[in-house]
Amino acid sequence: MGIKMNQYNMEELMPLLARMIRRYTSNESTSIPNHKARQILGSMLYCMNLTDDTDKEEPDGTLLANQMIIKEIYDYGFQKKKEKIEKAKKLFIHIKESFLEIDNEYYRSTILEGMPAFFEHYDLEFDAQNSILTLDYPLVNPVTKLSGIDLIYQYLRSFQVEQAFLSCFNTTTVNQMLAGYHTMYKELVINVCSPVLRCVLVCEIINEDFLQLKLKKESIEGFMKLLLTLSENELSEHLLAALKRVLNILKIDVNLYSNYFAGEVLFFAKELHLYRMDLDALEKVIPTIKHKYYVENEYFKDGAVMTDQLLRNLIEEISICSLLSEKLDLVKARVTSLNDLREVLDTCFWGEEYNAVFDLLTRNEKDYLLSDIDEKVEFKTGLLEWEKALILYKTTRTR
Amino acid sequence: MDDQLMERLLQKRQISDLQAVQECNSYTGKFGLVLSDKEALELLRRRREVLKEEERFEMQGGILPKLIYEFCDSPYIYQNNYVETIDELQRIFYLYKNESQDELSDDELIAYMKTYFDEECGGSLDYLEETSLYELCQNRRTGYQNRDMEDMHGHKDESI
Repeated sequence: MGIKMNQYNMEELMPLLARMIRRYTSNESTSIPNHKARQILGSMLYCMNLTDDTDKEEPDGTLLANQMIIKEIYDYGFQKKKEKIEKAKKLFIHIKESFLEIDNEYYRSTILEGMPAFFEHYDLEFDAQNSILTLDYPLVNPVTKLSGIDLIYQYLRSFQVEQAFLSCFNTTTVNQMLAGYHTMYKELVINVCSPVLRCVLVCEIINEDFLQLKLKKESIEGFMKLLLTLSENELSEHLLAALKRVLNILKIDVNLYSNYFAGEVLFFAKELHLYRMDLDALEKVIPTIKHKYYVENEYFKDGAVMTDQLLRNLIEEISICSLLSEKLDLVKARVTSLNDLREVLDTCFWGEEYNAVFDLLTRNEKDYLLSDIDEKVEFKTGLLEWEKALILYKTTRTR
Repeated sequence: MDDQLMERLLQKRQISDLQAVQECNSYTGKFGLVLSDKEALELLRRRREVLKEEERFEMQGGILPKLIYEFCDSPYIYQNNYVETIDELQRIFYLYKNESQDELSDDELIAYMKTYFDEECGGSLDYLEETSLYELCQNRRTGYQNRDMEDMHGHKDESI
């Protein structure tokens, strides 16, 4: 908190605190626990602190403190924070309306679940300095030194800047690129904007279409040769110039985004310079859509899952079929979701029969199932028989 | 707010708090109870200690005048035990503000204390602290409120 209590006269501070405590206890108690008193005093000082306000148009806090008595400063500050809550609510609604379907749990839950909870529970009068949320989704530029509504408002502003940048790209392409960045990208606490920005900048420097977010291995090798000729400063300049070109092409606020992404670009330059001689490391630093997860047409979407009862009935029907063709006919006719197919594969098919089921699937569907199996392998989770069979099927078919 | 600031705030209020306690004498005198300036100051000093022990912050005026006005007509308080009893009562009061998790208002808690002290406890501060108020807070916490209402009115309150 930027404000200091010794800025104020204790005799002036005390009546205001007493008034607030009376309001807090509804005038039914002359004393409160120390931690509550600290919280209320903190809340009071938070509202009186106008100097670190995130809105530049706000009047200077020091000037105000010189001209007003404590009660007036508090009332003025309280009103300003109240207005900020309204502005934050409007900004949140705007973000929600244009929210991107990025497949990352923290990206989604921090905004769509966290923010409504914040607005519901935020207590400007008695606990204004409490930000309530942990704001798990990390931003390119973390918001520091702020708390309460100031933090939330600034976080939303930064989130909006990043979301506007991401909205210039096809969401499916972004999700595919994130899958290339890390197989667990849906559950990882990662910033989504940063890998996109990195890929875009490298694409721009080597004259590839940055909207595709796709770099071939040869392109990265070519970029590596360029890196070897540049110092870190030269590389930073290249990247910053590429950023400006990208922003111009995307027709978004060049100054705003240049400033916002400057720190990230310089950090990226450092990493690139550090790994300039190691192709494997460079491939990890430069996120791109990777062939393994690259789906030519549409990003895979699973069909409708059937109810437990219907699934049980189907499994019973398949189990009493004596011919494989009968079983396959039932699968073709009734199964519309890979989630259901997993259950059916697990309970109704054996040995060589698996391959016949896999033959029914498209490449996208098989890739989707394999990506889940890859995760299980990565985390050393035991595989089911059909999963082992699918790995074998893939190996033999691609030979 | 750190302990030093608490202390500074309490020091600033000493004079007005002392006046409030001294003013009680004009009323309690009718019951033969009077506090000297030294005794009043001692009670205020003890209040500071208890507030520190119980980790509570009190605003101007405090609870002392209310306790004095409420208890001065008790048959178990007389000039010889007046200061000690009020001192103990204010300690018990803050203790049970915390024990009740601030769910009892000042007036409610003082009213319970007075009724128990004069009736069930027969003027015993130990019994008040260790039995009556303990049970009251236990009942409050477990949601069983009939017991204290029954005790207060001498019969079970059907409305609860």
